[in-house]
Amino acid sequence: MKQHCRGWLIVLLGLLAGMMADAGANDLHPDFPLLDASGRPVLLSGRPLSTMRTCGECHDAQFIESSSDHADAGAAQIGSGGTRHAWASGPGYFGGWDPLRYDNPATADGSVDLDAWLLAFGARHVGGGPASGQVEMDCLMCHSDITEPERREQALASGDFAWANSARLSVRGIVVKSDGRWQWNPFMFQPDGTLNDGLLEIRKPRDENCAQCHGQTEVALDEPLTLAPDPARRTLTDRTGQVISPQKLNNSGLNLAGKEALTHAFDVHADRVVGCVNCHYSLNNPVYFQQRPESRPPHLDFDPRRLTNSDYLTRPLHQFAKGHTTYGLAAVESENSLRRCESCHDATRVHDWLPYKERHFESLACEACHIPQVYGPALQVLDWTLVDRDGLPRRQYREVEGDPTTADSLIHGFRPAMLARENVGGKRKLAPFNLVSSWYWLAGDPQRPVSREQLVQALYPNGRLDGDVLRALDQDDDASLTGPEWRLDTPERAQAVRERLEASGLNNVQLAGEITPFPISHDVVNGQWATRDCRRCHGADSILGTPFALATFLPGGLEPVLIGAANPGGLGVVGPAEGGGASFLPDTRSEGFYIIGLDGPGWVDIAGLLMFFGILFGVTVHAVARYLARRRRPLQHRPMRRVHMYDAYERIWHWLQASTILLLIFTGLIIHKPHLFGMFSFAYVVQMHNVLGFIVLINAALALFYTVASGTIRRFFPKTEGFVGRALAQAAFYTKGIFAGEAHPLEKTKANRLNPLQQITYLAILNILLPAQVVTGVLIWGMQKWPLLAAALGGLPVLAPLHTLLAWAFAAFIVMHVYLTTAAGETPGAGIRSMISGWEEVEVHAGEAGPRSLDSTTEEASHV
Amino acid sequence: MNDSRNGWIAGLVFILVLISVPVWYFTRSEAVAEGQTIDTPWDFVPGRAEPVDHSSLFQQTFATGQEVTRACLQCHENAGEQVIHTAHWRWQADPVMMEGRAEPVSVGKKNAINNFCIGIQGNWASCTSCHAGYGWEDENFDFDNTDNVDCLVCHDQSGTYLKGKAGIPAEGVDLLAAAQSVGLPTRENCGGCHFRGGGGDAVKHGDLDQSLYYPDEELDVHMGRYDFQCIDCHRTKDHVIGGRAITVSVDKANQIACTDCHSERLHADARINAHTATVACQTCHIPRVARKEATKVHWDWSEAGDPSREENVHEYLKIKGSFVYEKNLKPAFRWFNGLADRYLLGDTLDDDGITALNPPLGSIRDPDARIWPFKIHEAHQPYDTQYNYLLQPVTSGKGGFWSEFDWDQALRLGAEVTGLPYSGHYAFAETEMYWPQTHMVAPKTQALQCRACHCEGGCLDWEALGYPGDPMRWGSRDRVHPVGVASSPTGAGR
Repeated sequence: MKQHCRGWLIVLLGLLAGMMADAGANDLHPDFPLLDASGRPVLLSGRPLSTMRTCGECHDAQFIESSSDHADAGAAQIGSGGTRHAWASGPGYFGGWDPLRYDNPATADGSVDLDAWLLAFGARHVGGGPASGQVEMDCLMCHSDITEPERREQALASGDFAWANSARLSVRGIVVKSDGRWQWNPFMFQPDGTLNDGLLEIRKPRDENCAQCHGQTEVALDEPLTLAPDPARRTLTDRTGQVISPQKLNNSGLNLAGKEALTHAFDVHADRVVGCVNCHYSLNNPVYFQQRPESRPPHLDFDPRRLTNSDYLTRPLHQFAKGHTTYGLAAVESENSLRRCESCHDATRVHDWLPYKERHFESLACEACHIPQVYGPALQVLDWTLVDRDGLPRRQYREVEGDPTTADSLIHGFRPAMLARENVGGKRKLAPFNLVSSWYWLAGDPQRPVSREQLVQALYPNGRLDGDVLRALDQDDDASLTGPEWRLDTPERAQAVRERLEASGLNNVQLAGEITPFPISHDVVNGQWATRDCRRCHGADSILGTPFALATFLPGGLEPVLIGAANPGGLGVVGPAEGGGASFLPDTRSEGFYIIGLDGPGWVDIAGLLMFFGILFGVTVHAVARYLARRRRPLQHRPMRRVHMYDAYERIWHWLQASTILLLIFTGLIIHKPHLFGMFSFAYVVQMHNVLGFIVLINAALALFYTVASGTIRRFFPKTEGFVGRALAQAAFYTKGIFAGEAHPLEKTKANRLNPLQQITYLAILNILLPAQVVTGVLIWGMQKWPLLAAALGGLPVLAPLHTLLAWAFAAFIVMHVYLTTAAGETPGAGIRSMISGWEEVEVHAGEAGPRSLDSTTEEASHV
Repeated sequence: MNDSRNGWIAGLVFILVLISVPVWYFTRSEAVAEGQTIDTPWDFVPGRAEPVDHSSLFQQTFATGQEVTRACLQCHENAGEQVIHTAHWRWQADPVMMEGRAEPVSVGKKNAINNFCIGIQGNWASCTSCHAGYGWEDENFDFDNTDNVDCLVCHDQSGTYLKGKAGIPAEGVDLLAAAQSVGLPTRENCGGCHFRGGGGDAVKHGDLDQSLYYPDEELDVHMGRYDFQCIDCHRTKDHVIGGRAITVSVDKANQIACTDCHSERLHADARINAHTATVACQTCHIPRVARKEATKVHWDWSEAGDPSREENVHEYLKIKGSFVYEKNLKPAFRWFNGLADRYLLGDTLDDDGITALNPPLGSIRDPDARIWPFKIHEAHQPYDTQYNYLLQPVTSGKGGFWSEFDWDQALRLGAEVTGLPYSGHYAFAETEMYWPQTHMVAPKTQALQCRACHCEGGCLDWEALGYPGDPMRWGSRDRVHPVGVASSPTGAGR
């Protein structure tokens, strides 16, 4: 009776499930009998489902398995080296090791204990490949509408490898486990061994299928997304914080800070119904297949000789387009085969608002601005040095208060670190990363990570924490470890655990710490939410100028080492963080990036400041001395005459140049140190600086033409005869005579108004300083127009500091120049006034025809 | 000397111009960031006239509504003449040609049949409590007598004005206070009738109910965030109020549209703008029907009259039958070009079961049609089994169903009023009415996301709309050739 009831219940459940599964079913896939390994319908044989046999009736299952990176999981590369850790057998999921999954099924001789590996990692493996003897490749994991992994996981974890793939079907009641035995449910089958209509849909993989292993997703819009408690179920999310879901952040079940304002989807592509397989497509899918440039004749954009659909359906490559991962080194041959942003988007058409568009595209991956903040909980620290009784490490999540899987946590989201990532074509661009720091114990000879079991046995010998360790860690002597006591934050405390591990029989115990960089390329936002603020990168307070937090303390005092292919150039340095622990400070210059407003050798500013304040100091002393001297001597009047010294054009030219140069220095200072001038819009100031620069350039060019055409250019060139004498006389005047109230040593006329010192100065300024400043400025402005030209001259790392240094020189010149105008006339303001009015009163010098009337002087002067 | 003094000012100005003009010219594009929209709706929102305080203008006591009206018309000389030509007064539109009918059709509440309380003929006194006039209690009402215009129902601002049977002011209403309070119509004035269409709050429309008296911005962004009044969109000239509803109208003259104020391609996102030629604004911006108050989606008259059933205004009433109310429901999507067909009294019923009383017109091939959200109201209502047309019963009127619970008598009386023969054989036919959703616009952050319609599991029946499949993959209507595709099998697969 009981059996009977259960049967009906199962039928009912099955019908219900069938009805639910029916929505949007794949009409094209034919019905098929479920077969066992010998090819008999499971309904008749009662044996486990063989996916290879069942699907292999039509599809070339052998081909699929042999091409599948997911099945192989890096097993083919075992023994070929390329591992980052000496104790790992291979670089991939199978036989590989990283501190995030920690358990190491590799044996000392380099082989992998398959059973141990399946127990630990089988749930996240599709089967087949190295596991094919035990667990077949589970086609239904990716191609069916049963996307709940739990039943298969449970079967694998209990060592029931043979039935693991069949167990998935128990969700729909197709197979049932009663009294420890799996039985196929005859109510679910047609007599020929096919399943009842609508019970199981076979289809292309959807995001839910991928999410079983890869990370957190929620495709329904109205079911608030919550985190899976088990980090192994959300690997991608755990590593990077990426949540691939169309759901808007404010509609999710995550307790996000400032959630109400976050009205965009976690991932714009998921929002726009771009599924995982749209970018991570099968490499011979005729819809997506693109021949690599290197294997394609240069004249051919598109090869129309495609696989037919039937060819593809028979032998679909199960090698999928992928990006460039740092943690898995498996499937290197399909590295960067992925559709990148540029494969679908023509960014140049919608970024006209972006200043220096090409330049930015040259140095920044799209993700750098379009993944401004990641909101899923991402690991920051994984500390295996002190595990709990269950052998679980301390996990610290980035910008999360509390345990992210519980409702009382608060998730702030984090700004990713910027590291250089190699893109297709070898171009290195800044892209977002998460950096996970982990610490763990090594022991033995050769050293291997101390297993969880060994850790638990050593630390909890009788089920309780070892007394010595407890005493070493228990700061408040209350015989229990709470809060911050639960950490090995000093070498002494680490030593206590090390001794404990050694006492438990381990030798050669050593602490290791590493930082794994994980690239972030999902959770993209559209332009409305992307970074538009230049100051996010430009400036000392930007993400490139400020440290990226790694850890609040260093277990055992050991600074972790950055590993991974993404960072061979060392785009930053790990160093102590403020308040303890460690942080990562980006170093963009070492990678050849030069970020205006952030990078720049410090000596330039030091030299500039010395020059500027040196001169300021000099003229101040000079001025004070002059003032004191003047007070001591009687006022004397000399015979003077008024001369029309400066033409209207010259005056306009002078003041235009003066204003633009002052504005240039000011705007330049803002661009140079944007964090000191937070109230100015960086983009606006840059544009203004460029416009002002061109005004100076044009003004200077016009003046050159004017002075050449009018011949007045000659006044800049010193007369060689007696030059030294006149120069010395002028110098003597500034150093001595001026204090004694002497007259200017040299006569100043319209034609000959520059003294020798001025001539030298102006020759230097107009022939060296100004052209150099204009040329460096134009080259910097033109970085995106003629990048090769600028690069030939050393690029920004040379041009920008030079431009800055010259700007300091200009600033210093202006101080000197303005000061010396006070020495030009009888009163300090007379010099400046003459540049405004054009008229200057100059001393009448010997050799002249004596004082004349003002009028006649005027007359004469105006004809010079 | 003086020349140079003035000269330096000129020089200074000249230099400033030389610097600032190019700086301004080359930096002005910086201000125009991508993503800024060209939408400037406030430019199109008419200002509201400042109301005149009428409190000192009336001192006399008013015994009847008509006295108030006469007082109003003393100053507003043309108002009466204006009102008596409007739909709010006539409950009937000017004749228009309808496709498939030889004669022009003049339709309105006055003669139409619906699937709620069915029709006003024979039931005038109850129904016309919402008429903007006084005393319409039978077919002899004088539509030319301006004295019967009810000014107060739209203009009262005292909040105390109430109408009873045949639109006569209810007992005890202080007409003087109401008259003194008059001003521009507010949501209270319009809502008094329109929020209660169908005989109660939220019954009919799905997007109009009493929650709009004090809406928050989540419910209606125009009324909630910006305190819009109905007449801000339903602009009124000479008492002709803008806006048409396919539940009573068959033409779309004087219709209102979102694009009266909003630019059609206002979205910062080009992908969304690409939708505006095929999708009505309402489709995304009114994500659900009846977000606050449940609305009636089903009415079964055939179950009326059972004295043994428990009564509950949302489930069963003896006089009306059984109902289904739903809240926050997904709208139905149909092509809609702004016009609807109309079941007219005497039309035969559809053979295939359900008769649509006002099916929206338009199809994938109609360039004027867009996909619109609708609330569909289904009902079982009486029809003549011999003549195969719907019948108009007398319900609230004398001897009607609501007092006698005798369908045969109610239908016989109804036939006398309408002149439409009744064979004596009746049953209940299944009908449906379409209610386009256009109010209760949600804030833009709550607009539908792509996957509400485009998803791998099939969130929308694209084939029913005439597409071969999801246009995201199959192409929009300008790319697909829907001939013969709409009938492709939709069999249940594996």
